[in-house]
Amino acid sequence: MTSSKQDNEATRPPAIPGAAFDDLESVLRLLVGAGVLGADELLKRLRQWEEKVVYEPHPPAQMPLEDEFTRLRYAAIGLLFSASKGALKAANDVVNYSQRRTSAAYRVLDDAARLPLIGLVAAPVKRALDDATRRRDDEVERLIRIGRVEERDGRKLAAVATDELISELLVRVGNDPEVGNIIQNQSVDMAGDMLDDLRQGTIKADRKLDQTIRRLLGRPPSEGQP
Amino acid sequence: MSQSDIALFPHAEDRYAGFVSRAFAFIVDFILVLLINIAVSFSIRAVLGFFGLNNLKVVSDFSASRLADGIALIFPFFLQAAYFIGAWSIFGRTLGMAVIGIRMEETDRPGSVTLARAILRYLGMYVSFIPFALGFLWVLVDGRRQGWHDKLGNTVVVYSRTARRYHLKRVAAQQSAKKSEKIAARSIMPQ
Repeated sequence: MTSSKQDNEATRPPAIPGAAFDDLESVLRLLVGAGVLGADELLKRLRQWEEKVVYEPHPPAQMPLEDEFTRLRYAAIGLLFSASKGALKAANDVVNYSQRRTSAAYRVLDDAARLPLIGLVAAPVKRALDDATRRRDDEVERLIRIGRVEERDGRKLAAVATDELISELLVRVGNDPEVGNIIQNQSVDMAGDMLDDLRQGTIKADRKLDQTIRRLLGRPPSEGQP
Repeated sequence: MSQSDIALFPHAEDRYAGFVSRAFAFIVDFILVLLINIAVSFSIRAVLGFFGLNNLKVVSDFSASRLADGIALIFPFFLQAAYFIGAWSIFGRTLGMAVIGIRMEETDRPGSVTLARAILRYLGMYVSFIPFALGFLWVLVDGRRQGWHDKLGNTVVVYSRTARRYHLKRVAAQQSAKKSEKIAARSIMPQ
């Protein structure tokens, strides 16, 4: 009964218009979706940036003179990198060790449950442990199912929210005459400046080329203005 | 020449556009004409291909695709002639010349170019081009910066007033900035 309720919860049907709106759940879903979408985008960009950067394989042969503050900064950065790698390794070790210990203890209990006298005590303990393990696995499975559905729905919700916000922003910017004027004026001014600079450049080049030709031909310099 | 023109061009030779300006304007026009040519050739081919008319016999063995080839070969010459002659005689400048800030006028009648002069000048461009473009390079040594085609058409290419005004403003601003720098340098020098 509990299991079927949990399944229904995890694979709920799409929201029906007019159905009760759970604000907390919706906000949570949007946060998860936006976070996941943002992380995807960030990771994609990071991969591109990492490909562009050419890292030097070795530290410089001769270290420049470094003051204490610089060395402290380097130490802090080094600690950050070592700590992140170390923390991952430590967490991994703890999980593995705990699994190893649990499975070893379970094997001993399993063996004990088969013994004639000790089995009377060990068998109920083993059954209780089995039940607890099953419940824990079910709970983890239930959380995984909820997480899978919520991540998918969160992505959709965040995509809709982003699209609508961007569209609204563009419409507002487009409808705002002040913003429109600023963009238009800036574009016109920039194009005008570029054109003026181009003209200025060609007039200067004309003048220089003319002077060079006159020098080569031995003619007097032009009387014209610069 | 009006008073404002005298102020803008105190020396006669200041008026005439030099080789670099004219070359830039020509490059802009050349790219524009080339793009139109490509678009027209592509459109003809696309239309023929879309309706499956490539193998249509127009006259005896002369197919539509060969007609399109012929048009693509001849059209650029007509387009180029129409563009340059039309722009010179109607506006006194091409689009490239307008971008660079130069315009064309007749030597004896400033402000306009007749159709006959425009045609003569256009034909003169081929004359200028044939002997290793010597006719174009003549702009570099001529007193009024005329090429052979200009001489044939009796035209000159001059800077537009806007371009010249902006140029003078920039030169004045640069000179004033230099003066200010000198004054500032003198004021901070030890007495």
